[in-house]
Amino acid sequence: MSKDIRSFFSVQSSKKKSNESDKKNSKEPTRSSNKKKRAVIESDSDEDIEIFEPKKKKTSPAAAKKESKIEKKTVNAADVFGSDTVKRTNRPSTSKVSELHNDSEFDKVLQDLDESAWASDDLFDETVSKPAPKETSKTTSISPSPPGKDSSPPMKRPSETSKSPVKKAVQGEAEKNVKHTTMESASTSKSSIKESSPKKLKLEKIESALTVQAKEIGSSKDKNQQKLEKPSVKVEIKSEKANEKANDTRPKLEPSPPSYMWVDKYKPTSVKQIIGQQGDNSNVKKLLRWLSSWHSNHGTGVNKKLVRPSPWAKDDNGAFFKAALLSGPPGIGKTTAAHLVCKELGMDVVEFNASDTRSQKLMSKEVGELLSSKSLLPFFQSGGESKTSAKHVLVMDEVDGMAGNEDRGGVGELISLIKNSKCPVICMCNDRNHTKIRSLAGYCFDLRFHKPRVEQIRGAMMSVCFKEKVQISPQALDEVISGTNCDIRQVLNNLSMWSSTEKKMNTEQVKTDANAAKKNIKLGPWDAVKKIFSSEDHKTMSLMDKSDLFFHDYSLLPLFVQENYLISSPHAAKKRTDSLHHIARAAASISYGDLIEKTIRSKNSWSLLPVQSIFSSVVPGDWMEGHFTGQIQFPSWLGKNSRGLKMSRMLQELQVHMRLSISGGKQAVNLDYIQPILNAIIRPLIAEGSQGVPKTMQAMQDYFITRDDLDSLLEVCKWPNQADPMAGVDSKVKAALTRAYNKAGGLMIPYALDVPVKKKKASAAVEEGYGGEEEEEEGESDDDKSDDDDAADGMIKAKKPEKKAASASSSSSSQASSSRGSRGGARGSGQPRGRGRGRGKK
Amino acid sequence: MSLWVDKYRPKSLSLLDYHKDQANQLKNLVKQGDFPHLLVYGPSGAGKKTRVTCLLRELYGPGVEKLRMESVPITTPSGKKLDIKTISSNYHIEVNPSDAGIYDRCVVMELVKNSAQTHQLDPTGQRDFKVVVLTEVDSLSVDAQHALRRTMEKYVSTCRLILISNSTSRVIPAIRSRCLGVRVAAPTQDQIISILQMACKKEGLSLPLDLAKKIVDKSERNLRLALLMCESCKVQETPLKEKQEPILPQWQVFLKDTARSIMHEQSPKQLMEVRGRLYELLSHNIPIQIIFKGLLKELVSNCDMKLKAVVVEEAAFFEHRVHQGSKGIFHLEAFVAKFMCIYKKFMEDSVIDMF
Repeated sequence: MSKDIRSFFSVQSSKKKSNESDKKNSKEPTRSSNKKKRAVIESDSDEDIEIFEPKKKKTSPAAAKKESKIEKKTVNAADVFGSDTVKRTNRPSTSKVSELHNDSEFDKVLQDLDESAWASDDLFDETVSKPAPKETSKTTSISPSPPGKDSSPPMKRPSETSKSPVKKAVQGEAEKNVKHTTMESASTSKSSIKESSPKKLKLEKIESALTVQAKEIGSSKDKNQQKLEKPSVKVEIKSEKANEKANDTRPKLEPSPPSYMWVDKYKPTSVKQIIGQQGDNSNVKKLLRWLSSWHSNHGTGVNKKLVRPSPWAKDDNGAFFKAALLSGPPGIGKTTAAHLVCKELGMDVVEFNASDTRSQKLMSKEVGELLSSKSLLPFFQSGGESKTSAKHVLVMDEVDGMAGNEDRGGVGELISLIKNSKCPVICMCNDRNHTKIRSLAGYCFDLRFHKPRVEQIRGAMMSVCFKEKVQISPQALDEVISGTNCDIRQVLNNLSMWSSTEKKMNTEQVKTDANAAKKNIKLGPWDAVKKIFSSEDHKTMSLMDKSDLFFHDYSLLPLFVQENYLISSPHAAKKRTDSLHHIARAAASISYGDLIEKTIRSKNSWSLLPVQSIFSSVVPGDWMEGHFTGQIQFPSWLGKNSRGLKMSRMLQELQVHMRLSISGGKQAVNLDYIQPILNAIIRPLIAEGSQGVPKTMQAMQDYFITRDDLDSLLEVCKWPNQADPMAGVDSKVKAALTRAYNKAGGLMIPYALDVPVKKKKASAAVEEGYGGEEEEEEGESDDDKSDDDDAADGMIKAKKPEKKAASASSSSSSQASSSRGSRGGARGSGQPRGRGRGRGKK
Repeated sequence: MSLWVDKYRPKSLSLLDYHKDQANQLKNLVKQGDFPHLLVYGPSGAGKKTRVTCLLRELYGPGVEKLRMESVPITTPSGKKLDIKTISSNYHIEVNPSDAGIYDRCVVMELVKNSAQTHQLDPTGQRDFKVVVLTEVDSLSVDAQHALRRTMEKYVSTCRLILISNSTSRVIPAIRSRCLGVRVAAPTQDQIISILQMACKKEGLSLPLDLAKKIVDKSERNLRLALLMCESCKVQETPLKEKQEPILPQWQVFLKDTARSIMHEQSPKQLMEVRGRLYELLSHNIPIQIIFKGLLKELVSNCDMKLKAVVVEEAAFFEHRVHQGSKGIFHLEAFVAKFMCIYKKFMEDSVIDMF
């Protein structure tokens, strides 16, 4: 019973709250009566929504209560009706219901009433408005359960079950009549409550409240917000009408409680209001044009031939792309822009963001389904006429958040989705240069959002401040804006936070606050290095501030400092010698910083990081503080280092290849050998032209240098300010060399080239090769005896053409592998080895 | 048509041109039948590897010259697969574990241990042990060296290790004590001259003594370099002449130019340019110690006497840091900056003194 009462309260309270909507809907009762029949038919679908609407609280408590209540019911039934089941079915259900309520819920009523006793005075006064908020919350949570008491499958059709008590079982007839009996039933229920509840004192209050509400119900029958609760037990009061109204008003149910977040409150409601996007060539306009022309470009049946625009084309309209990629820092309105543009064009937004799992599987399934289905929204809005023209836009928010196991393959799927998409796709990300995004960007119309300028934000913010009656000077506002790094959302949040304490803000206060906020801005290494050396900035910075600069990116900044300290001209140095002195001190400090870094990395002593920050950034910054005389460069160390590694790899390969004829290690090759060898190879070409080709070939053969090795040899030998040694070689000669090289089928090389090595590994023939090799050597030496004789140390040689023949005969190694080992292995495994006098198996 | 270095490399201990006493000792060692682990060390171009090859031939006969190259797959504990190139005959195997970079320990553990563990099965083999030659031991990581020490003791009956390195300073004492150290000193100037002349004679040329001396000077007693230079002189001008200047390797020329440019001007801009040149040298894999040495030599020779000690001290200071730190260029540049500062100040002071 308590439920009944509370639901009344809630009805009432909701009314107060939603005065506006009431006014709007005041005409609806008339319409709703016309629609009554359909409403009944649609009741099923209503239920679905009802279950959904009351905010999740409903399902769990309801389910929990259902059990207990069913139990109670059986007990009660036995008590009241004995075993006369027939009677029970025929009996007027009104009394039954009331009795049930009395027994089972009585205690609860008392409890609830006690709790709400404080409100009772107000109830007497018929003002009712005050208790409303508290009561509402209760009703929403509890009211749904009553249907459970009336019948066992209660959740399904509350409208019908509720009717049964009123109209005494005959449901078919009920439909027409219920409407008229609304008020009567309301009064009957009241009376039943009165009779059943023994606590008179409280009941008086309740009664009066009920009457008030009943009046109100009678006068204005559309309870938009609350009719969700109504279908519960007191359907007697509510009746069909309420249900019908529910249909009409459903879309308005979407909670429109006033938001107290400024960010939401002052969210742009039209495309024009987006800050910094008013221009005709702004990103939003571009997006709008792209989206509006999408269906004419890519729609079904359209067979336009679109050309991929060059990436440098200035005024591209993106017609080629089926998707758009909005990128830019957070808080500048990317998501808002996308949604507003869609709204403006009347398209439905299907959004996926980082909170949705977006793995390959789910994407193809869910998104595919969504895009092929129709929106339900028009059904509710326009009273059921199905709109077929509704167009969807798939909005993939936070694409760069697709990470980890759960979203595996998500980007790939997104790309394939875009390729086959029948609707426009809008993707959004922060980091345009993320590796994952880069692959996506090739399929997207690239729209880069930039931070709006301070002035652009200022205007909008001033108007917000005016509306909120916050007094703030433009200068202070500028501080706030730059303090948040032009993040509009952040500016609003900060403003609302500060204004909550006082409405008038003085510049000083705001400045300090903004500075406090500023600390959280992450600087890129470029900005940080600028600050490290700037004498201007140093004036206001403490030692800690300076060392904090280092921590913006502690792995990259030492490199940046080292790269750029020379272009800073120190103000403290008067003479030239002085500046050299400063440089030397800075360089020494940087060098010491490197020692610390090595210790940090090799011994994992990360606690030394602050020490490194002093030596690698603060001290050099201090010695060199002044102004930059040139552009800040990206550290060349990274590039040089990787070049060094590449050279090292080439040298190693050269050394390994030449190993049989030379004696030195890698370093000896680098310092001593490479140049004479290169000369020995190239000289005949320069001196004798095409005639020299055989000599060159011979030299290459002697040192087992392949064509590829020659190229790396050339690169390793190349120094700046020195002519390319190959420049002296005529291009015809070069071609002749290549021809001769290919004709000979490459070189006879004693080592395996890289590609076949892997195959060899796969066949695991290495071990076998040891035994089989000797035999092979004998067999083959007849063929190329001359070669063997030439080779002074009698090493094993392999000829490519021969190999091909050999491999053709032995089916096992079909790939022309250049390794003797594998061949020996392949053959050796087939036949018994007679003369293997190798070392035996290792 | 190999280069002279390779063409005239001696093939047996008795044919070696210098350190003949040492060669005889090695010969006797082999004759005894047993043989300790060896640690062969000496500067680059002194003939360490040549000597080891001769020793192996002495041990096993000409069969050891039948070499083959193999690549052996190695799987690191982290599952990474590497291929290590080895050179082997039936009697020995030669590996450079530092090819594997930071995984050199795996090479020692898997490859060396495997070949050390297995016995020589072939009865016709002349020895009951085989030899594992490890080159560039001084660039082995400490971990790998530790992995080596137990192996050396345990499998001494089946396997002998010959370690080749430039200096023993980076070989851990535990390994040094397990090996017989064989120092191969660089040949003296006279020895090099006689070798050069012999090579020229075999080629049918006559080598003027002055040119030979010049070559020896430039090569810094590196026999390999001397021979290569000699040959390039021959290419330059066929009857060798006294006035001829031997051609230096390009990196040395470049290094000298760099030093000269430091002497030429001292300014931040110049330092920037020098940095670019140093980067070039480093990315060509010229060892940073050699760069330090080359720079210092050039700079000191042009310095006033008073400055020399200071400059050498600074160079030593920053070279030490190179070993402690990770990014060589930082220290190299710091040295150059320091030198510029000292030098400039000295020059200005002396100018003031003059007036």
